Amino acid sequence: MTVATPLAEVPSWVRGAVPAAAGLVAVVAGTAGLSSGGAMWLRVVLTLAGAGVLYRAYRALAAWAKGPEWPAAYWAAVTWLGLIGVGALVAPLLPLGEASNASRTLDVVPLLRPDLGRTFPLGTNAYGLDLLARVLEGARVSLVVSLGGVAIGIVVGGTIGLVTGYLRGPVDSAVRVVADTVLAFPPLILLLAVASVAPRTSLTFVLAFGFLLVPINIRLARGNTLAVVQREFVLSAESLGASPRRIVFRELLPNVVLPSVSYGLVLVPLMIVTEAALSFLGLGIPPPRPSWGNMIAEGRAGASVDNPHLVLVPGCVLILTVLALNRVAERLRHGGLGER
Amino acid sequence: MGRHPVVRRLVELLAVLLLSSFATFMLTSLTPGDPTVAILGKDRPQEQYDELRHELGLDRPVLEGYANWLGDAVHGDLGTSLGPGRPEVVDRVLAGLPVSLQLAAMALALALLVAVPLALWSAAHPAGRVDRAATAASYASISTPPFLAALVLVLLFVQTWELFPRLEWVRITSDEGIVENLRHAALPTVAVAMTIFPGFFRVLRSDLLDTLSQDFIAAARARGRSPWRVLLGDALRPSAFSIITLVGVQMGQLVGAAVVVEALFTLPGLGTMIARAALSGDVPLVQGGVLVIAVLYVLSNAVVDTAYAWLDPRVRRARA
Repeated sequence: MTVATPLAEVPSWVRGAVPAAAGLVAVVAGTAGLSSGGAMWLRVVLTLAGAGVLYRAYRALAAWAKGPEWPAAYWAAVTWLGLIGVGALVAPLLPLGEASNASRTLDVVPLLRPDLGRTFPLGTNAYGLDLLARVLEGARVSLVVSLGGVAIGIVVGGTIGLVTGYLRGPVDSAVRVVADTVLAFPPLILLLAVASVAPRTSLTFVLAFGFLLVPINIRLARGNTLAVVQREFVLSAESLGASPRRIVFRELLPNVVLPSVSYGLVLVPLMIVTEAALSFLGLGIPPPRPSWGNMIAEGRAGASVDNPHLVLVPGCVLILTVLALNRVAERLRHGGLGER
Repeated sequence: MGRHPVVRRLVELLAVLLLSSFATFMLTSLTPGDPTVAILGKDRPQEQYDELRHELGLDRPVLEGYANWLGDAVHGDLGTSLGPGRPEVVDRVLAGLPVSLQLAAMALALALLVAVPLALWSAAHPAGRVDRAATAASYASISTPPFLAALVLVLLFVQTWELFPRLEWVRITSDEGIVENLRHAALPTVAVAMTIFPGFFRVLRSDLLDTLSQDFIAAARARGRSPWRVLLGDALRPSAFSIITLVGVQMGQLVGAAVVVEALFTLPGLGTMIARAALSGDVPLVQGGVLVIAVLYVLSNAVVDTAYAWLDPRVRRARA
């Protein structure tokens, strides 16, 4: 004769569907329903809260449909990254507003608030430029610079670490001291120093980011090499008379490359944030070309109390991308077992 | 190189210091074309270019120029800024340093004050409400760039609710004294602390969980010690080494890492100085600031290394 709690009798899909509906209503109301003016912050809170509820609903529905073991957060992250990546790739082909040329937007209403149902779903900035187009264009900068920099860091740093870790000796010590030196500069300071003298193009920043990431990759690859060198298969290859080159590239490399790449995944979001910080200071890719950092800086400059969307749109995209990358990186690092 | 670990460490330290100062000196050579033209702009009288060339040590062979520059730097002469009034770089650096150091120290203290109790509670009740909330918060906080957090803080607390003074800075030594100083430092401190809190929390939490699963803890519990005495008296100390290392690393890095927050709140610290100098192409000022920050970092790392060996007998024995 037990009295069941009311919650236990509700089918689990309802527990997902109800918040899903509520969240959707909140997001739509937040972006469109409430008129502008004093209700600005209410709209912001409503939209963000709605998005949060939607996400919870997604988790609940996923648990109901796919079982609790299904990594819902991971797939949400992958989907988001796919959207950003594909969006950045095909942005020029999409029917979006103008991203960077303010002389073409004289007929567009500036400072439109985000409204998912309209022509400018994420709103426009002070020059009537489409924020959605700008966010995707900015994604190109962020992705090129961070992925390019990390790739250079892994390839150059990994190779140096692998070779010096195998050969040891005085070269190894010298490389270590040089690597320690680069690590002695806070990354942002080093980038500021570079930006103060070099031309501020994507190429400069790819190279600078790559340079910045070489030492840490040297350390990582060197440490892993030292560990692998002691294994039996290396010893047996050596005693079979394999050349040093063969040992380094055929025996050591396959064992060192995996941890380096998985660490590289952690570095990508870090670099995205660093690039944004640099652009925010006005020392990244110069406007009018949009990047997430200089969009945020622009939003801060122009009356942001009345138009918080100028900061919040690129800000939220930035945060979500970094969160998603961290989530994916963590799962891959734990060999697919990361879901908490 | 000497066999003794301390001697070897010192030699390495010296090498890193020399190399980093050399890298700083070589900064001017990164400029495309003639650095003096890039710095001063075109169409100046030839004497100005020559003078600057001499000042930057570019009119001599690289090593000689570097030796001169370094000699001056060791004697406390970092050259003169190219900005209006041509102030001494040393004076500018010394004016900015206390602000940056205060911000770094306060942020570090705040982050520890929040992270340590939260980590203790989370480790005592793993997967509980507090643990899940704090873990989620640390994730979010890692993914939020410091400048964005700072920006939202400004939007809310300064512009919308006007709870805090608008930006700028009041020195402790000024007439308005320490209260005004703290009021101005509060928001930047929170913004910086948010970025270092996750590391502290996660490291201490996982080390505590590790320690709590060991036999001596089970023994202490079996003897009937209260959970809190086990946690604070038995588990905390052996779990503290990683977080101490992390604090040390952060101490060195914070002055540099807080650049963006400093710039956003327009605090007159080293970060703002370097960012502005970089924007206006004031290379000597950038060089001076970068050099000081790099030296600070290297020295504080060395101090932490030593302190670590002193704290943990195992490290001492392994090295001896």
